[in-house]
Amino acid sequence: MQKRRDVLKLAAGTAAASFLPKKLYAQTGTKKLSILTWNIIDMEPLFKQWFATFQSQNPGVEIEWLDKKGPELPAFYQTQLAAGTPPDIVDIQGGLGLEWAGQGALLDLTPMLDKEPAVRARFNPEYLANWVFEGKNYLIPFYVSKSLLFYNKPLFKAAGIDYAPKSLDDILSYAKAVSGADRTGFLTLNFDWLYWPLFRMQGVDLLTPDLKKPTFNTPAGIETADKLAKATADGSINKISWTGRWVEPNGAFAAGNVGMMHAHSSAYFFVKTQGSWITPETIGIAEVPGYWSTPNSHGYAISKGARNPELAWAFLKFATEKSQAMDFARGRTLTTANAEVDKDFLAELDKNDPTAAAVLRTQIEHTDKLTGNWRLSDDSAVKNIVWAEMQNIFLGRRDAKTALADAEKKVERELRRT
Amino acid sequence: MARLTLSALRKSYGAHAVVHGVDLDVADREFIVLVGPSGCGKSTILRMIAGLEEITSGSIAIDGRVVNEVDPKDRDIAMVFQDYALYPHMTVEQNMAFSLRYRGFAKAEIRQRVAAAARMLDIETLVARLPRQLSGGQRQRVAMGRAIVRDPKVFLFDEPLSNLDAKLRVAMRTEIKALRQRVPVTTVYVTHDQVEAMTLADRIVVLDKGTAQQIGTPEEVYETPASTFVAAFMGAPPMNLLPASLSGEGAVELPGGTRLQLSGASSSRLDRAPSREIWFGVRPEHLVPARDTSKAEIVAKARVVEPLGSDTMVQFDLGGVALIARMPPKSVRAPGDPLAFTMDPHDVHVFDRASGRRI
Amino acid sequence: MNTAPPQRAGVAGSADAVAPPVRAADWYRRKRTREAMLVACFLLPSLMIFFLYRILPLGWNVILSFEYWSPLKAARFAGLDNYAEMFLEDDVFWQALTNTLIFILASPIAILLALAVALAVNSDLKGAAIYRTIIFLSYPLMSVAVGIVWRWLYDERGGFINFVLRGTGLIKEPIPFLQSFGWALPSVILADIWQVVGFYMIILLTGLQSIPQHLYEAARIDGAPASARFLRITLPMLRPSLFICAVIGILNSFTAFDLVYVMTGGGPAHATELLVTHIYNMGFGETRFDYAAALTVVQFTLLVILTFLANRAVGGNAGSVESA
Repeated sequence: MQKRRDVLKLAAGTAAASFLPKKLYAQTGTKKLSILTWNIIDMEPLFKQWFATFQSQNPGVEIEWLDKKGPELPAFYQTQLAAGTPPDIVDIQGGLGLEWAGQGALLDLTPMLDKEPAVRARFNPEYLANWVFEGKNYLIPFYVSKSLLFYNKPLFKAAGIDYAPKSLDDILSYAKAVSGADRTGFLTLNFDWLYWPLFRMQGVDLLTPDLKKPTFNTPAGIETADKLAKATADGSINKISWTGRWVEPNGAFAAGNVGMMHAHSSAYFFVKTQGSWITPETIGIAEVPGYWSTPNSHGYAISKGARNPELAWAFLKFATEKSQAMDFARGRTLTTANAEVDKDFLAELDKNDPTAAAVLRTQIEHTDKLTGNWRLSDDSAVKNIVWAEMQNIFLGRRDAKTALADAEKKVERELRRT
Repeated sequence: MARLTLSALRKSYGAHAVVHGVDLDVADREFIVLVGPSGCGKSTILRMIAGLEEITSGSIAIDGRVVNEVDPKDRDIAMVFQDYALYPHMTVEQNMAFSLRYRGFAKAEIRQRVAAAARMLDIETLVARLPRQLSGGQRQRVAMGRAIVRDPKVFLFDEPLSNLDAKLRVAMRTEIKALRQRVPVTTVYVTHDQVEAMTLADRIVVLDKGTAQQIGTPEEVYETPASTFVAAFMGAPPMNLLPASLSGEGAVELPGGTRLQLSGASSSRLDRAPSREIWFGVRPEHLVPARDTSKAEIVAKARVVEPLGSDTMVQFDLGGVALIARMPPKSVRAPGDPLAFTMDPHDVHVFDRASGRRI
Repeated sequence: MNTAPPQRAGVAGSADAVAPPVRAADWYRRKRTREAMLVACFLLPSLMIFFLYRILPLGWNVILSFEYWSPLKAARFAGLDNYAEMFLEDDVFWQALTNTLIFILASPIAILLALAVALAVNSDLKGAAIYRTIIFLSYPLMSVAVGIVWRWLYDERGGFINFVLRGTGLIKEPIPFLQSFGWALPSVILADIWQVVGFYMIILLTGLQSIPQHLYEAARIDGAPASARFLRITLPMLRPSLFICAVIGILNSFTAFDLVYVMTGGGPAHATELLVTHIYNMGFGETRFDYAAALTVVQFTLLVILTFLANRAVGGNAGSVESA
């Protein structure tokens, strides 16, 4: 019934449009919606389907969709900003959304969410809150992930360990036990601040809650950095942890020579296709000690310079609706932070692929313990400063005490700069 | 004193032989020109003398010392290349001084020698220039200067004038001749231009296909060419060569039925001919216009008339063979004019048809 | 009254010969103007592109470097603030500058290597053409691919280089090439040299083959030993080629972005940071286009100075082809 009415509406709209003079039609009719997504070209068929449905519901809308690869999107979006032609909707990963919000690139979505509490209620509140800058909500979840711990059960067994680590010291002692001539015990992804739970679980945080002062240069911070450096030096921690991006760390874990890997859920799907040793019996899945994790989620934002913000908001509501979000979760095997969708999808997945379901279940639990993003407009500048000194410590160039003191000074200077 | 002796000199690249045993004795201060068409082996011989090519067999001796295995720099020779081979990034002065620097000369001596050579070649004002700032003729002089400063035992010239335009070539030829009188050094000069050979040489070596066809003074080579090849190669326009036959008693039968009676020494030579089939040769300038047509040995009609000013070249047919005559200016005006020539028996040449050797 | 039939300039050619000299000169001048116009017309498109995509951005970049600006904020005059921060506070800038200079200093090594290879394949060496092709093949490869391959070769655990070094007993413990502060930069430079050496070789080979053989023969007769022939003929004659290599080397050090980005991302802890990666990080990583502009101005200035010095070093007329 619904469908037929849509078709009728569409037909009427088209007919009306074709009778109107061109000029008038341009004023009243066509609306363009530009959408920029990040490295998700594989979902093209589904997106095309969404666009068609959305267009049938909103006659006269033209959709221009562009997908950019990993390193290209930030540069591309910024050039578009500089040119004054930002895409209406942009898919942003990690802490970058907060940074761009802080710089004034994005539209505040709070009024819309306030007006439509049903939309707000769709999302896991913590994931939604992850993109709040100065009390305003700038992004809504597209698909979400956070870090967890994978471990190689046969290696653990060979080393006489039969349970997941409960603390950093556990992690490091297990890592030492597992490591050997060609084996290392622990590996973490480091991009997008994914390593930060290792500090957070020790009670170390980067900044004070008001984001005015650094708080990492404490005895606990120094001790943690020291421990990681020592474990790196003796081969317990694989050095790729501190230099690799995506392919090498995942590749190393998939090769079966690494005891544990700290990564987010998508890593599972990557290593599963590469590592022949990985079966539901051999791969261990655990929360990070203390349930701390760093999110690495994608959110939808609307550019402040969007030509059709209302239309863009209409599309976001449409795309995060249960039916669309469910198709997307199925298509990519992921969590969307749409609470209802995730619950139904995981129930479905439990039957088809219980291991994947176990991995994804971690993504929507303990979401109160997210860390690794700060609501700063120069988030990446602060992170780069600290990260460079962390590399110095972990790879043994500087001792933790002086390096962290230096980092503290530089962070203070950076915080003053803005 | 510098004598240069080539004995049974051979060169081959793999199975392909390019020089087939050349013997040559160059006297001290003698100017020898190796002349021949391209591919005759003349440059290869020169490069073997220079030491730039290895000798396949035979020997080269300078003043009695066999230099087959001696490095080019120790042969005490100097060479002027066809493209001059000046060092483009060095000034004229540095170019000329280059070889002296590696021969342990004192700076003052180098300077003095270069200055002397520059003066002799009239390039004193150019010494600070780079080769690319010089004209072709000036580069040529620098190349010679570079050879002269060395005061070598032997000069080698490899087609030094072929990169110059016709006018400059004539001027430089004269200069080389003049220079040669001031710096009388044993010289081997390679050219494909028979005029250069004739004008410069004390003796000419005419080469063809890697073999010396004739070695002799310009006069000898011109007046008594040892073979049809030499006859045709030396002289411009070349000698007229007609297939002819001997009919005994010093008589030669030319194409078209003309009979020519050779007398005296010439006729007695003919008795030694291995066969009756011969090439009959006469140079264009030795076809003498007959005052009396009835006494003429050759009667024909002009086919092409080429007035050169000083002479008029006339082409005509004799029994189907094209001949050229060099005639006084204005003696013939147009194609079709009647021609009549006589020949001095001393100025005609007879070659064996099969071997091409002079009889 | 001019009663002469009107004649169009374009067809006046044959009439000029008989025209009075004054008119001929006038015509000639007009013709020259016309030719200049024509040349300008042909040059215009490329000049426009050059102006639009090179000069204009460069100029804007210089202005930007004296401002506070981001895509969303109105520009504010910043004076020398960006430069002051760069020179006084930005340790990464100094590190990146040092690394860039080290990168540049490594290019003579690459050029020497390429020269040795060029001399070898220019000789009568058997199969020289094959070696030449193989050595050149690295150059057209995408830097990203080169980076990935080398990253794999350098790997601490499964890398081929460590495998060989340990297999031959040269080292006991594997070297974490790209994870070590000491090794990372040399390792990246080595990969860069590997990629570019084939290109240098082709340039130098072309240079070598354009040296007339007679020069060497003349030098042999002149008595110059092999070393002198190399130093006093080959090297000076290769000057234009060497200059091109040097400039490419300098440019390459300033633009080896993809290789560094793929192999180390500038790490560990900026150990392989180059000016260009720092500029990228500042501009697109931290959205500080104003500061990145100031960095770019410094890099550009440095580039101009170095190119000038390289030109001077080879005699000031580099690029010109000499012939005698």
